[in-house]
Amino acid sequence: MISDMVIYTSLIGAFLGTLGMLLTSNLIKKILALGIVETSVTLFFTAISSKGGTRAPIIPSLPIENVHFADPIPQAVIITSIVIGFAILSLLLTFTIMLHNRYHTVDIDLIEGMLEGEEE
Amino acid sequence: MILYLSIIPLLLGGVSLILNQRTKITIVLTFTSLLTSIVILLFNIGKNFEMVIGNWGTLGISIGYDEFALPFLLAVIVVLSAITLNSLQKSYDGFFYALITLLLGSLNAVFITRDLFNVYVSFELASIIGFILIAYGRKGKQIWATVKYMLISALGFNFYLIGIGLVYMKSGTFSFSALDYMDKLPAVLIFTGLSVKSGLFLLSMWLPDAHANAITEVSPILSGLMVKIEDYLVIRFLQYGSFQWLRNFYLVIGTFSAVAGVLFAMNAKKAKDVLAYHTFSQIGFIIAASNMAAAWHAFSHAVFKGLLFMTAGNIKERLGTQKIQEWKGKINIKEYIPLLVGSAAIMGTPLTSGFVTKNGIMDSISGPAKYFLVVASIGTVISFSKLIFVGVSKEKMKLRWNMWLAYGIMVAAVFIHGIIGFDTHHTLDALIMIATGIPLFFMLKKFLNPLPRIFERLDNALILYLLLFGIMLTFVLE
Repeated sequence: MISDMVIYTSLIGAFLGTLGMLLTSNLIKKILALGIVETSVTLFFTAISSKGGTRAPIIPSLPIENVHFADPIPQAVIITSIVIGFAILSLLLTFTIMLHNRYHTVDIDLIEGMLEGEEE
Repeated sequence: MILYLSIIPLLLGGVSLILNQRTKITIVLTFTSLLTSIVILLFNIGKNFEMVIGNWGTLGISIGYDEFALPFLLAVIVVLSAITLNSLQKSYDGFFYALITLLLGSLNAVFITRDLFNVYVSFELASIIGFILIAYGRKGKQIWATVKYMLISALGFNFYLIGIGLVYMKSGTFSFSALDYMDKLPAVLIFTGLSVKSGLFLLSMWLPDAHANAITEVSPILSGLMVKIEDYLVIRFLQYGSFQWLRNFYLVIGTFSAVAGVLFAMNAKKAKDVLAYHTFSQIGFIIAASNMAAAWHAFSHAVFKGLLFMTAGNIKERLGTQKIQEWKGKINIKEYIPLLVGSAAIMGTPLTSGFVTKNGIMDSISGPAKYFLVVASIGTVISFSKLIFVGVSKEKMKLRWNMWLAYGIMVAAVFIHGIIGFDTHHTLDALIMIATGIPLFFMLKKFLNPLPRIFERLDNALILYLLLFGIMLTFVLE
């Protein structure tokens, strides 16, 4: 079944994104890895909606024939989470610019080292 | 009716965002939305209902109100009123007040919703406002604390989304009632996804940095309200069948957090660090019990911790330092009294709110966890002795009316709650704990030095969180 395969693919994507967040010390790359996790979750919801069928949930003519529509609810819901994910990513990148202006690096180990030496 | 609790503040917040050049109008709108919230809440006290918006059946968003939501809604109103009053005459712009109004709306929305996806939306809205507020002072430390908080919590929320996706796949609805017949996996994903913001030790190690470095008006919001959302959801979800098996886990992790938080707080030297670490410990108390008493402890913690953070922030602004050592003999009596009331409440002194709710938690817990919680309580006394014996200066100081009112609201809330709920049967225990804690403080004073903050680095915090997530997943596999 295609939708099960997509579900597993999306979970693997989320796992790889999480690993990416752990394995790099570059702030921008960490944010990109977070983006991968978010996209995987979007794919996961799309896969859920395609469990019953893959046709677009638009009624072409009445009476409704028994065709396999995709479930519109997870799709409607995940649009909100795409927007929120976009807000988070852009806010993160804004803060990264502010940090880069101040410390001239995006390496988190260097930034944390500099902050520890900094008194308030 | 109850829906307007979130719609009116969100609407007025939107208006304030547009009018953010006119600070006075935004302040008026903030107070208007606080007042409407109080009125709507008064109309709903004592009711218990759940309903669906619109005629969509199980697909609609269900909202409801019952006694579990009351302490949290009250905490939102008390803390936000006090910090808004405290922020007057401090040259905040209209944007700040617009954010506070929007925050009021989104927090109210979390506490009345009964829909898993709506929880996500309103929780994220509250968090995004929180992120902006932490970085409001634009100092390097604040921005870094925000980035750390955002990266970890955004990852956690993706796990939550996977969890509710699984719920939908099985039941075809996002309503809370679907949680009655779920497997263990969605429960684990939902709990760990949200717990990244819960303020539990090991799960949210970003917390001390963010809470200690935020500006005066924001720390009370973070410690009093933002971390309470997850506590509310933990308590709420325990009513549903698929979360029952997690209760023992909550007891273990809550007790651990209570003790570990106190250990770090006892050793900290800066006032706001002490308070931030105590958030770990008090949240531990709440999660360990996770019942009605815990919900009221969330309210009393929001009030007294808000009071402490606000006072500490104001003193820091005046003296320019937050090292308790350098505060000695410089604190005015007008600042010392709120500090003393807050410390007394967090220690559990009789006649304060902390005494009432902490006893409620202690009564509902049995077994070895109780002893650890008693140790944590004595540790709380030890670490707050630092603030109590700080020494008062004789200098005259004029306190502006808005600060009087801000302190007054919170001190009054502490005492009213403490006197209404007063009960003699634990008075002796509380006094014994305080009587052992204070001498212990003078004995241990020389040995207390700040513990290394190695867990709070971004990578380590992330690894700890994912490690605990992995451990939780092994429960499912059994």
